[in-house]
Amino acid sequence: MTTRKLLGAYTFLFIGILYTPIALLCWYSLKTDLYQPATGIFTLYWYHSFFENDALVLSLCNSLLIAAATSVISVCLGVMFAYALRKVGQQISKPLNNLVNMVLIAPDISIAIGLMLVFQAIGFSLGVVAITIAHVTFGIAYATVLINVRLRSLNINLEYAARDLGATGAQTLRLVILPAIKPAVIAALLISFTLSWDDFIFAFYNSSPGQTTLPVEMFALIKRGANPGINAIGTICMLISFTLVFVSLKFQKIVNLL
Amino acid sequence: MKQNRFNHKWLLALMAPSVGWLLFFFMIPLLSIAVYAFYTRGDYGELKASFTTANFQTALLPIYLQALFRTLILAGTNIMLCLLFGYPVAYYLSFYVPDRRKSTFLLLIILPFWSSYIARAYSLLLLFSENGPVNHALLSLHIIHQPLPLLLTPGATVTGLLYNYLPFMVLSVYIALEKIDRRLIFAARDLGASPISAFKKIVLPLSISGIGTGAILVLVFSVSDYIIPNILGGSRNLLISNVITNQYFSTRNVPLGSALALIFIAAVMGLVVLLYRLMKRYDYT
Repeated sequence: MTTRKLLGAYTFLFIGILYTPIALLCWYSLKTDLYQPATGIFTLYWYHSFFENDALVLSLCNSLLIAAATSVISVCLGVMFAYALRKVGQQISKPLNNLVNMVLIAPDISIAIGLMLVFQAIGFSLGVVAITIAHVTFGIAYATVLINVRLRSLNINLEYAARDLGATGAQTLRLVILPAIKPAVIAALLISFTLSWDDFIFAFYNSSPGQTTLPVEMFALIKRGANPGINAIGTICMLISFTLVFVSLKFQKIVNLL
Repeated sequence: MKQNRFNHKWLLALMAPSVGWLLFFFMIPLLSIAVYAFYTRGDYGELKASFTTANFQTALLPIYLQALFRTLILAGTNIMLCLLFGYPVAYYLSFYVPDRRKSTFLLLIILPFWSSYIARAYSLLLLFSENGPVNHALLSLHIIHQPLPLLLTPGATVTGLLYNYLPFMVLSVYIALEKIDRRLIFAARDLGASPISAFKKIVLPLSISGIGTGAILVLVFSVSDYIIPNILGGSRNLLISNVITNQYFSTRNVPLGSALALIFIAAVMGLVVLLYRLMKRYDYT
């Protein structure tokens, strides 16, 4: 009984600490003075000045566009890939699974640099398209793994039944498999969107002036010195992410999103 | 036979886009790093095709190796701390929280991970700054008389990494704990095991897979992190990511940067394989 109380108290403290910095960020974003947040008055000035800044708003739009494209492309390719991986023999699926795992464990910075070197060597201009390509590369890997896990728990007889009843391969995939793996598809969409939306290092290496993402712009701002405007941008980013999570939760229980 | 051939083509068509994508945008970039690592740098930073191992000799100088080791030690420290602080939470969640409340707790724990990563790093900067809340609280409690310089220290970097990657450890351990058959624990207790020895002999060994998965995740994320060490740790405690980035953007020594990146990839992949082997060896499930 005491163990239970002790662990419970610890867990609540843990969750409290988890949210402290986030709460602080929102609080500071509404204050006039960064260094006297206790006494300063509430204001929406920092939000106003964010939307006045064309470069920042442009990078926000870029980030959203890249994240949306990344999640859709990654999940489409990932579903096809994971489905086929379950069907082919061990000697084909094993090396391909290893390839996917390598993408997941290779340090981000090395892939980001490698891509930049390749783009520069073939004369492909860096920017929004290059960043999207970079993000889809890890997006495919995450989507494939997530969908693979779900496919493994699927009864194979469902598929045989569909084929016996005359469905083509494409029809089986669309009408039987897809509805059955829907939770994993939604989880993969959400996770690939978030990873792209939050990514710094791939965008940092593969962006060009004017064609960059919000995290890269924010990092540049922070490096130039503390600026209360960053609190407002951070809060906006957070609201966008949280909205997305709650929309996904409408479709799916949290347990299935893990 | 005909049916089989059709199937084969259909599966190939499904796999081709992803495999092609990963070959073009993952394998070729890695190979180009490997090729550039043997090039030489011209007088103006341009690349000259050659086959020299000089870059590797430079990359293995103590100054660069130290940055690599510092990165790995930082990641190792972070893994241990994540385990220490995360395990009790996962344990509470799995064993004490009623089933209907579990999803709420899980959501509470992973929601911060979905908030903006760079904004979180910045909020920690505010928290630990010289006139931030932490110093303010310590001053008003008369624990200290001068604001502590909390930022730009290795401690700040570790705190930042810990804050960011704890949820991954909690989740991995939680998933492993959920799979444990509760009857095993009841049986051990019936046979006279104390709660502590039941934990040591049943729960802990059966959660090794979760600990291993969590450790691999935290390792991979921690070593790649660029923002947190830069914002919270400052440039005095140089990590390998900074060193590599400097080669590409400041000194424009692409061959040396590539050699460093290659060694870094090899070190991380080697460690992941090692951790995986260890996990499999001690995994009883």
